[in-house]
Amino acid sequence: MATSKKNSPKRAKRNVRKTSKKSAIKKSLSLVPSTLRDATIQQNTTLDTLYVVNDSTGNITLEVNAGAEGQTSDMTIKLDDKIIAQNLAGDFPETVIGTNKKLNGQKLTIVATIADTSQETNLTSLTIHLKGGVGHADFPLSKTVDDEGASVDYLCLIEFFDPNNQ
Amino acid sequence: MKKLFLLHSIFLSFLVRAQNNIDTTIKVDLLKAPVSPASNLLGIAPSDIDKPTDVSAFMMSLQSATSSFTKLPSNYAIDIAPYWIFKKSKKGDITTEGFRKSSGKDVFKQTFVLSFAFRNPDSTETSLNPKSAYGGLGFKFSILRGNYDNSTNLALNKIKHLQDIKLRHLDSIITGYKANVDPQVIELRQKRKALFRSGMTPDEIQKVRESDEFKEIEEKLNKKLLEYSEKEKSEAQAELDKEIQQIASSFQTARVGWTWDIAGGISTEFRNKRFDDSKIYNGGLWTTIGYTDTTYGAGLMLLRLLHNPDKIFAKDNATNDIGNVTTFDAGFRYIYSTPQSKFNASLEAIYRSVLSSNTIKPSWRLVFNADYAIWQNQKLTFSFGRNFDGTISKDGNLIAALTFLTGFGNKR
Repeated sequence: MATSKKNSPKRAKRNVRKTSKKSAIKKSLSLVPSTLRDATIQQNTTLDTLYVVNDSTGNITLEVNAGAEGQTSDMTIKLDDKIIAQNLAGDFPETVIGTNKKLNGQKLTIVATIADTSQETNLTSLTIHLKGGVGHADFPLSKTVDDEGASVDYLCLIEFFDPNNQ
Repeated sequence: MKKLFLLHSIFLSFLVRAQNNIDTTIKVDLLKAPVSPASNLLGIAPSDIDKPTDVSAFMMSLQSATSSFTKLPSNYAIDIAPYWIFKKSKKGDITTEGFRKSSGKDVFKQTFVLSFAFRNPDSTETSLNPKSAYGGLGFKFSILRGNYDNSTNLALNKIKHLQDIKLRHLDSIITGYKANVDPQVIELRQKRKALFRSGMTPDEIQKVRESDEFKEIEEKLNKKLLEYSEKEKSEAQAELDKEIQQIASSFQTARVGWTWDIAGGISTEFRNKRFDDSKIYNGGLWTTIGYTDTTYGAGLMLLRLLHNPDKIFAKDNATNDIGNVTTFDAGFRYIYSTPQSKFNASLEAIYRSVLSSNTIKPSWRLVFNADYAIWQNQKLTFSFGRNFDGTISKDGNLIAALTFLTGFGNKR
């Protein structure tokens, strides 16, 4: 008897493994920072926020990590109209994007799409790390897809803001 | 007539089974590096090994094995991948793009596994001393894990092409949202900025960020952005999602090229179950180097150094009654096999020796196997080689070395 690909034993086994890993992620929530925990529960895929800077000439760095294990990502990063990365597969490594003073008032946009290609999990995630301004900021976003192979789109807008020079 | 056919079928099936039982191959797999070195050294079955995926599962496993930390476990084995269990953030690039790399420090970190095993044998145990307790520690990692094969690259390139097109849509959405003139969005942004006063210290700024009011505004703005993106989502995007899903849902990674894995472990016997009276029980070091090519087949070289093994392979797999000896086994296997190909061939070689004893001479075996599928279930096989004892073996009787195998079923 022919077995359809969707209902094949191999696929069923893979789904069980994925579900158990998904449960494991939920089980381990108490061990992750509250911000990440909230993000995991809320399943955020959009971000409209501020990053506070000062009037120094200190550098600000940006790093973007895509996940989870074995997913396939693509992203474009822009600072106002200037392209920082276009159609980048995988992570964006820690990079200086400008000084505090220069970045005040500018807007950073990050758009990413992540396809569920993992055999281990259905979780997709995008974490943005900003350093060099007033404190470090990590912005974790995530969403678990229901359907095998589905994609999740992430849209982020971060405005650099100096309260002393509004 | 039916009964006659049935009897004939049973007779034929015995014939086929008898022919299938002729083992013309050497199991090089016995030199294969173990999945879990520590448990392998102490003879713990792979199905009994715990493999926690996070810290809480690890603690649960430990708690369960020790009856809530009140006694030593009787039979316990665990494999831990520190990189995946303990590093919660900044794991490096763990997407398919990051996994593309065949070598480097990320490959080492991602493949590094520590294995621990503990055995507290009872009186029914025959291979271990029931008066002693045994502990094992092992490791495993890859130096080279191979590159994606053509089909993997092709699928990833297709997904990338579709994702690139999709990003253009997403970019136009975020650009539109950036210039959003929705009065509610403008008001929320102004309210958010008004929470920060001039001359605030970093601590005060952090307090504002953590305040409920700030979080509430952010939540509303995030929701506005989500609503905006859903409203602007085009049919073309939905179509792209479908196309990506078609490829991604059946995506699997396969690797070709060089691979190199290393595993090792050591175990200790604690006499009279006292931790201050111990000796090395056994140990081992394994390495597997291989090359896989989609056109020319795959080659695999396996080296194994064992101290005080259960079996001495150089002595016809006999149980180790000598005591503390160190043995060295090496194996090589070349396999030529392509999908849908009727012709398959393999060349296998094994060298076995005892390094710390002159009483057992080293021996080797070399065998060449080939088969050709004439029809479905019907194969011509050929086997030729040298045995450990120096005799030349050739299986089959047609032109000295051909065997004809046949089986039941449709030719298709």
